[in-house]
Amino acid sequence: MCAVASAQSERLEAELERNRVSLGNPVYLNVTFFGAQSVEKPDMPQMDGLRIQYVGPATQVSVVNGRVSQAITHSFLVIPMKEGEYKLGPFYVEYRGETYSAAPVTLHVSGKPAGFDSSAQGQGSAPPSYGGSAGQSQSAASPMYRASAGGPSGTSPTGKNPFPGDVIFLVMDVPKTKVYVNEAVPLTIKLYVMNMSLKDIEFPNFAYDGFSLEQWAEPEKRQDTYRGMGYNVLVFRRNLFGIKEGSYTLGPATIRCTAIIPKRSARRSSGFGRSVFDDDFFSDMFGRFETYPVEIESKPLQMTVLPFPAENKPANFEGAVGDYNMEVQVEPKKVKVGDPVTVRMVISGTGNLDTVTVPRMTVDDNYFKTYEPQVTKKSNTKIYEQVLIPKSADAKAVPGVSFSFFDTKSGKYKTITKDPVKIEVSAQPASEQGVKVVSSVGSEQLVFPAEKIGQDIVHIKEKIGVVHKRGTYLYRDIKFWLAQLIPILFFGIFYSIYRKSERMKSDVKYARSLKAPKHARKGMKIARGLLAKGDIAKFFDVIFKTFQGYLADRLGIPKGAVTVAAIEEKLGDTGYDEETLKMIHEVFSNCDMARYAPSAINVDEAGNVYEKVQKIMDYVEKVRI
Amino acid sequence: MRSVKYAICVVFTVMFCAPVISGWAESVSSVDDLFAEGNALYEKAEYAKAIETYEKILSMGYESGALYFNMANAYFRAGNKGKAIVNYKRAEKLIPSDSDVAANERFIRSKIGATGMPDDGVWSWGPIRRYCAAFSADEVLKIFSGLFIAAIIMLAGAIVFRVYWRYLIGVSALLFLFAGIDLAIAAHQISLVGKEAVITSAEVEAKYGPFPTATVFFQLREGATVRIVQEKDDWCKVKRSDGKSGWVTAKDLEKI
Repeated sequence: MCAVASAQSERLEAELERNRVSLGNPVYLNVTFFGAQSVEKPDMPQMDGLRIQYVGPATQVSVVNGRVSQAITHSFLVIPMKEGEYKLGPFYVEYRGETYSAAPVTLHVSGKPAGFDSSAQGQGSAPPSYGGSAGQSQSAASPMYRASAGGPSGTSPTGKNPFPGDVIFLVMDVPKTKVYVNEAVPLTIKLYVMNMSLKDIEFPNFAYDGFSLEQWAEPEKRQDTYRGMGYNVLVFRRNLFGIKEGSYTLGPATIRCTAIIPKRSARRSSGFGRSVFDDDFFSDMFGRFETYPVEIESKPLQMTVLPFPAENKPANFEGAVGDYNMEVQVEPKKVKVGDPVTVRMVISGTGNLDTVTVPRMTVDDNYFKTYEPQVTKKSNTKIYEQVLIPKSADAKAVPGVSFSFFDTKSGKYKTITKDPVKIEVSAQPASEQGVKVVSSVGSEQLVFPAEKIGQDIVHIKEKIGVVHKRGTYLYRDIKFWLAQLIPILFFGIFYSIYRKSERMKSDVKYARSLKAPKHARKGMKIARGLLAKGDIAKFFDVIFKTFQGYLADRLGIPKGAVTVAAIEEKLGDTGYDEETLKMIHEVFSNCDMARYAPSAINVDEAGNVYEKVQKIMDYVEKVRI
Repeated sequence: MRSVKYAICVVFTVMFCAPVISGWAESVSSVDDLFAEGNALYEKAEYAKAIETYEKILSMGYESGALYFNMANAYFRAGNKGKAIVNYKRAEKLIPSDSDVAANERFIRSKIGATGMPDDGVWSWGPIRRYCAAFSADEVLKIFSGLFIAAIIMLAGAIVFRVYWRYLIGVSALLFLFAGIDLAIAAHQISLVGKEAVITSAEVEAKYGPFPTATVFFQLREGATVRIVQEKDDWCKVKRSDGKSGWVTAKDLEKI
């Protein structure tokens, strides 16, 4: 049962849960590698007579006396399909470049049903829970026998369904197998399941040549007994309609789902003794159930679709199948010419409502104008609303209505005829004639008088508006073009002022030189006043300061450095005349004299100095420094 | 006897002077009064007289958009659709944003029948074409003036406010550009002054040459707008909006 791998610390073991099983009973094969957790699963070839499915890996770590042991178990579910003795393995895995192997294991598959398997094994393991019920009530006959003998419901374990036929099976059923064309056939497909959980159940698939289908109804869950056994049943319902006469095979129906089965006790802890992971709690949480996909198939059904009998076929029969009743209402019964009359035909009953067409009504075009009827479909009722508009007051009655259908219960045609309904039509008063919009439902009506829209020119203007001289154009006006120069001119002025003010701010010499005449004029005015008063001493004081300040500002030299030599040097390039220089010299000497001996100079001499200063300043002002 | 002579003199003087005085009175009656008079005649359906009254205002040397509009209406009522269109065109030059002018012109063109070809002018780009249509040449020139002043103010601003000079120079450049475009549009509109004409006769043949026996090139309908390319004696060479040009007699068209 066990095969020990080569290495002491790292080894591979393969183990079957049980060595003897009966047909259809799955058994686990665990291949465990001890010493690592990252080992790929071994290759497992498919074998004839066995279905082998990889379940997944499980890893274990245990710490015993400070020693860490780890292992990985790859589990496979082996489902026996045929009797015989099978040799599984040997198994190989690679770990860190080395190949480890485990010896093959042997599985004996007996043809006995699952229920008897437990006694045959004699190993004390529990009887299989999901298959166990089969042995309790059924005879020793295998599910395969039952499948062939068990009427329409039996199934055999197919390639996709490993379970015995009485544990899970599918039944396809119709109330009758001979139907008329277009007759509604309620099809039921029932999934019987005993002691097992299913999930991801898909809607059944089946072949339906010669039939058309309606949508599936909501599946229904219920409990049912079948041959004395209790089952959970899932019922799928769907209506079928035969399209064309003939014999057809319906189905077989198949359902795909996922079975949830309890997991067998996996003895993969053999290398460690009993580890915490073998605890019931953990196995409940993680390992107790297994899922795998199942496909269940039913038996097919033989169906015959019959044509409608030719005899006694009414002329107005248009294929309606079922059992119906018809009501006819006419509203309103008193109308004016041009007003709509609604004929409401209500067809109710059982059968294929899609086959019901508008009941026959012969309308005389001389009396009525007709519109397409409006159809409303409810669960078991179809309502036709036909709008008729009387053309003249001679229309006395709404014509009669007849409707024929084929009753599948009796296999005969039936015709419902309604008599004409009398109505009163009066002539339209002239005042109400106009455009009529008639809603096709027939209850509302709107009347718009026809609008007439005229067309003409807009009327003349009352006010003359802005009056021009004729032939005056702005572009011919020279003043306009001259005016365009004004902004340019303004810009030029602005720019020169701006430049000057900027220079005044940054160039001190320039600023002083510009301000010099202004300051000088101020000083000269004071000096003139003093001269008039005859205050010679003060006059010379002021005129000296003014003259000195003016020359300093104008020529750009410090006030203390204003000497005849300095002035001569500054004026040197300007082509000055000697006389001016002489005058400057005289002014300075006069000023000096006046400072030390004011009494030596009289008013005339002072006036003379004033004149000279004025002349010099006029001269210097003209000179470009 | 002397008094009799005197009386006769007075009577003759009054008789001779009356028309003179009344004529003088007429000439001083204001443009507004004449306009109102014309409108009153129009409303009495005396269209010919109304036109005459409106013409008096023109002969006094005055014009206005409303005057041309009312004249056009009167011409239309009097049955002269070509003249009506000429006057709507004239009104359009003075009051381009008035929707009544365009509406009436459209209505009359629909009465004539085929409206001829769309005249997109040289400005095929929509916004410029609409701009051209919305403003008269004088208005476009005034807009140019405004743009030019604004551009120069922005330039001055750029010099003073040095922190924002990049933006202000940009705005200024843009304004100069617009002013330039505006001036080009104005130049185009000015070039059309006195060159546009409307066909006033019902059906006119445009010929290959300025003489009656010349081969007919194409037909022009009443109300069609054409451009005068050349003038020779009593003939005008006109160009249709599709580019075809031919000679028509001057009496068949009227300049806008």
